[in-house]
Amino acid sequence: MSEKVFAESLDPSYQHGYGVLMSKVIAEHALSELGLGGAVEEMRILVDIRKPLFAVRVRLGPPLPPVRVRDCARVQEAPDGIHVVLLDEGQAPFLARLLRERFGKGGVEQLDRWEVVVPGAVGAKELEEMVVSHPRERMMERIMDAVERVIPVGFRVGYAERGEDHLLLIASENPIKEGWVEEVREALRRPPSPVPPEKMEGIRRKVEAAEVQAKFKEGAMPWRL
Amino acid sequence: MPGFLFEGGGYRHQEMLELVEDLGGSILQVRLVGSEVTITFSVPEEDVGRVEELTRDLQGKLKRLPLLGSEIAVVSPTITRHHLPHPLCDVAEYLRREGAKTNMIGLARGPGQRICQISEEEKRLIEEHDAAVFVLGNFEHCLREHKWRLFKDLSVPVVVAGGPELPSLPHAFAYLSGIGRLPYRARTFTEIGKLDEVARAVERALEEERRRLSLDPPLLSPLVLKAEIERKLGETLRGGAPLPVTPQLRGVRVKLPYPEFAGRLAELEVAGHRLGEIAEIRRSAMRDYILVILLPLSRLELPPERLRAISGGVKV
Repeated sequence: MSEKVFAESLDPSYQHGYGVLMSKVIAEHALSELGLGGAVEEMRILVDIRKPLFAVRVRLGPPLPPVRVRDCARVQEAPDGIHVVLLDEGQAPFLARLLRERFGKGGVEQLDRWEVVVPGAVGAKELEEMVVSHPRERMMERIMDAVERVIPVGFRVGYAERGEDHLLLIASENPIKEGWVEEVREALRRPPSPVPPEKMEGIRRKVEAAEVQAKFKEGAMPWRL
Repeated sequence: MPGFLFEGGGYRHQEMLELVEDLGGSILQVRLVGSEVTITFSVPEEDVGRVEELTRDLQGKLKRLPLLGSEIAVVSPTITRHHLPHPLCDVAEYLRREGAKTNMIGLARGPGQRICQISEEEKRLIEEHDAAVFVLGNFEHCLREHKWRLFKDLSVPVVVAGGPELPSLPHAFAYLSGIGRLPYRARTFTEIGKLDEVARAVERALEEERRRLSLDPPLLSPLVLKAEIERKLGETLRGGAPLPVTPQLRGVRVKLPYPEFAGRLAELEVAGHRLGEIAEIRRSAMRDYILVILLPLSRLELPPERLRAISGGVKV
């Protein structure tokens, strides 16, 4: 699997410092915990701790199409209205919100946990094409969560830039200076430099082979821990 | 007096309690759950052999607790997910396993470099403990140039744990690398070894404090004071707080409201004196608790014959 997370120092005297390398480890853990491996194509972290400046640029993966009613429910016309049978429970809150907004609270009759009936004011085909949720929007919340986990707590002054396929956040504890944004953009134009494996060796957690300790060392009292 | 943890069966555990009392030791806690008992106690060093003999006879387990009788503050620069729960909770748990009573403190304005600061109230709270462990971040420049401001004015020994390798930090008793901002729990032997280094550093700091205290010790041991307060003030056992009378190196923390109980504590008779005469009783910065700080012998107005009788002081 190709590397997705790159951490570099903008200060050449602190290249591959402990803090920079641990930022990479923390970012990898954050992406893994939040399940963003597929949504994020690349995450670059730029650090200059003396300024202080912390920049994170996330390049997003291919956009996921919006989820429509037909993707998560079965729609059936009936004499008493249109029956909507939920198939994907994960979309339940979004579908409920859509139906409430479209038909009003009183217009949605819930038969059981999975099935509701709405008036036949719209056709079944039109209802099937309605957008229930935008996965990209929900993904952005998790991506912001991951970025906030990486950036140190004290760096509260931020500059954010959002594009079609990327998100850039520059943070500092002091006001962001004139040339910093351009400096970060310049650094991002250069290709990322991966960390040499021997540098990460000392940082990554090593899972040692299980050490089976003798219950009683020779001559030791069995009752003494 | 060294501290121990005895784990064994509930049957015949009374023999252990009686032995500890006969040897002049102190029992801190007895937990009987089902048929298993856990006893935390301390005995004089010269009598440890007798305790080991009884443990063997009872087929229980004995563990030394080097930090027993101390209260340690584990301090985080923030209470956000950057520093909590990993690795601070691991540090606090390991210190508890070594016998210490730990309190976790999150500073309100600890994060940042230029902006990091500690308030007077936070300093007062930390100084009520016997030692403090600060667990900081991963950047060398940040630790060396800025973070020492958080603990430079503290009068208790400060052990600092951070990420990068540094020989030392100003104003810190000890600095340990490899425990800074970590996104995972300590599980491997290496990581637990790091926690053990923190515990050993705290142990060294407390040993130095004990040596300093032994030059002018108090009239009685805080462990003995704890037992006396629990015996004579029944409300301590009915309060519901964990370890309602918490021993420290210099005294005890009593987890009862100060306005109602300070007067009663001052009138309590301990070792033939009013507690108010041999200790300073003051309000704690932690909730409304009471701190009882035993005065050293040199500050007590005792008649010469009484001083001669207890000359040599009491080993803390």
